[in-house]
Amino acid sequence: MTTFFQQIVDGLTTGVIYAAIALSLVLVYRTSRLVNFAQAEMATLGGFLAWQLSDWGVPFPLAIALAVAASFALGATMERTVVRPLHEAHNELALFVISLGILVVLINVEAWIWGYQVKAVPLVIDGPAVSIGSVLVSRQKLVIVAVAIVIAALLFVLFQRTRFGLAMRAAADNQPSARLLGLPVNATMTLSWGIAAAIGTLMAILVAPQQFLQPGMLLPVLLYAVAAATLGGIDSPVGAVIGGLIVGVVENLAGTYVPGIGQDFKSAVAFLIIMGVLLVRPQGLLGSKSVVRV
Amino acid sequence: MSLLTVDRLCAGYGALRVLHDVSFSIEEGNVTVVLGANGAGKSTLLRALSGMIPATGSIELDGYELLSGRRRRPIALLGIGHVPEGRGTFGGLTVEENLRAGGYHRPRGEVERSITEWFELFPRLAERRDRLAAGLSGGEQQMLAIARALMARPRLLLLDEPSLGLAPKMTGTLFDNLRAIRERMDMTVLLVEQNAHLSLQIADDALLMTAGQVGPRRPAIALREDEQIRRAYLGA
Amino acid sequence: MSAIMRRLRQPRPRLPIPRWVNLVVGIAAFAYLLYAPLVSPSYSNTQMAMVCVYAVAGLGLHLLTGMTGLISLGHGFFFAVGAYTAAILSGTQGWPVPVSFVVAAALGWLLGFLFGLPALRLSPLALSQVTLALALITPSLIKRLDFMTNGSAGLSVDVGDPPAWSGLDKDQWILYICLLIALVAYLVTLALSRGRTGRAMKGLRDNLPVATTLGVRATTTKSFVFATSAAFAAVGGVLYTLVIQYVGADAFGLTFAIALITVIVVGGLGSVPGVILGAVFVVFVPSWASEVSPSASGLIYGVALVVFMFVLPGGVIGVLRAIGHPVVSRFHARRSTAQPPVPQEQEAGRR
Repeated sequence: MTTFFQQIVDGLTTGVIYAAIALSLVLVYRTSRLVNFAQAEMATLGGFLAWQLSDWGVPFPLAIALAVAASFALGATMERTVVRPLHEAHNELALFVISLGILVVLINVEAWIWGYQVKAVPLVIDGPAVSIGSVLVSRQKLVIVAVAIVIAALLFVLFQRTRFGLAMRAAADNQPSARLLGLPVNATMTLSWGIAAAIGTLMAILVAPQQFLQPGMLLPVLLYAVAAATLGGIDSPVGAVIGGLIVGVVENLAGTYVPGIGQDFKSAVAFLIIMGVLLVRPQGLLGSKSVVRV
Repeated sequence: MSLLTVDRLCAGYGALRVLHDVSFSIEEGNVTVVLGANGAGKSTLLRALSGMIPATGSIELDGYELLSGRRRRPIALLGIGHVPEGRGTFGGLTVEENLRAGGYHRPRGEVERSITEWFELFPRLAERRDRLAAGLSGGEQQMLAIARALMARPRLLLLDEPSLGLAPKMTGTLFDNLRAIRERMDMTVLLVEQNAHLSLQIADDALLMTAGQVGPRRPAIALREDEQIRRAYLGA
Repeated sequence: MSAIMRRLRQPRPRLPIPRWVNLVVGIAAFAYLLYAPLVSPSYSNTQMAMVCVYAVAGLGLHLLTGMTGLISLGHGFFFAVGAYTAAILSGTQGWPVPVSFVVAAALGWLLGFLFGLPALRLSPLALSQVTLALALITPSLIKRLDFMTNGSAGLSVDVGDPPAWSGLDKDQWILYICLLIALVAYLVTLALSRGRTGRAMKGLRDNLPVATTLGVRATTTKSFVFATSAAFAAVGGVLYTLVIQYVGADAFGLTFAIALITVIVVGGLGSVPGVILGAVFVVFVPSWASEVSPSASGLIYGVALVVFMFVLPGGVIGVLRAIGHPVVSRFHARRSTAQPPVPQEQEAGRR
């Protein structure tokens, strides 16, 4: 029984990471109608930046802040330069191919600069694992969960309590109408990309000690994040969080208890979730139906 | 006095030109209806006026040229409200949030006051203020879309086929509501509408549109009596 | 700046090259290809064979993406199916190579059809999500089936030895096989894209509702296209095993799937000859680039995808058309001095 609870908690703490990357995917999808397959690699790049800065002697908290800020700028720049013209031309195929291109560019740029040697990113907090009842959780994981909760809360406030957040939601809902009302649609798009990239980078830095920082570090996470976003609804931020947690738990339990899957083949669970959800309920748990219309 | 003066306006979609040298003007405070067959370019005219599609020629709103300058400002800031065909409400936002989005550029206090006013005028919307707009009926969504556009206090309201897809009874209610709004506030409206019968009743002036061109402006009352128009548009 | 971009992005019509010129050039090129393997060093034969490998798989993907507008990252999976079929049947079991071709094509077709049954009900966006997942799990799936595939260690094979009567070296013999299969694949693709199916597919790509109204059965056509393109990929996989003589799980991940997409993007989406140019690109350009740095070869794929999609959506073929147009139209003008040249063409030439 203890193992079971331990598995659930492990699944949830992993699920938080999936949820964060899924949230990035959703933010970008809502503005640009693109599932940005380069999202996870942009996060990894941010992880490298933080490592590099701290390796140059910048204090780690400051290095994190700078890396997150740089990622925000990178995401925003990508939206303004490459993505927006194609989005406005409704060229979804080109957007998709370019997101693959950016993924490949980022992996190889990272490999060129930093190589495949795993970089040791420090933990933000050290010390023995904390026990809650009979379940053990490492301190770093608790930090990850706390950071994720803060991110979710900030996004909630932004979306639900601010004027600009209202404009972001309106622009995601119906872009032509939002433009007719004079809402700052372009600014919402740029900001969404920036926020998505910043969230990814923050998560990448926090998971780097356990995932081993090297090019392509978060590619396995990308698979689960896509599954999470699909399950929750590709245009629903709340769905992304719920989807991430569910995928984390299911994947972990399946790896332990379902015969024939095992720890190495857990990724099949993500594939089955994506396929199953898209066939049975294409809009996911909380997504809007309009997404499904071709 | 003319609020809007359009001169030699041309517009279309890519290589396809829909509007050919359209010139007309509309009077401040009046409701002007554009009548015309399907494909005459009525919706295109509204889209060109609100900058949704590129256009050449001249559009002057109260002496301010909209087509000059390198970058057009958002039309909402220039004083034009556009309720597009198909309503375009934010389905995933609540009724109240839709209205707030409409008042985005106005001070917070005024927005609160306007929202209260709209809810007084349309108790149906007030009852549903926290519901998602997607759950409203077609007629309610149309009212919401109009109210949302008016939240910005536009000088000129462009209304594209408000009765489209509504049951006849709903259409009647909608026009009653439009009349009620007119009594409450001064507004200038350019209305594109299939239902010539109802729209000529509410309108002061009418423009006839055929094949991308607009004829001379005529009083709506004259068109109501005109035998030819009756046959062409009113099905009598 | 934007004027230049617009000029670059402008779609170009097919060059009005006379049929006989195409035919003569085609036959000459093929004659050269028949002769070249006999006098080329072995590494260059291997590179040429790899071009054929990518061309065959790329032609399959071209059928799908170029003509129906659907995109698949899953073709690396079908390619792997073919590669492992050859490695297991002809390598481990020692069956003749032609059997591997037939089995791989059939298996690829069947798996493509089975995968397409649910997947093709999805929107293009959703299909990209599912096939991304397929690409990401392919290596772990292969490792999971280690009783057949030997997991991460992979299978070294010795297949496709030349028969004694030919007097050829192994690399020459295998290149001939690759050329033959690539030629067949090329002709089949041309036939499919110009015939009835091709028109149906283009209709589906450009306007689904209209094509459906006109009696194109969307699901049937799409399933057929998807299965056929998967079969092409599987055949490409068999060639891969012949050329490399080794299969390993990690070769068939996301990077490989993206390389296949690079093949059809670089040449020019929707152009059959473009696929060949794309295959040449992914074999040669990265190997030149890797002299600079090992990462440069990967980088060049990514840059090519972004640049070609964003700046030159017509691909290399589009560029050739832009350059070739003035030349070809002048040629036409000289041939028909009696009549004035067609004004439209002249204008296109001046642009």
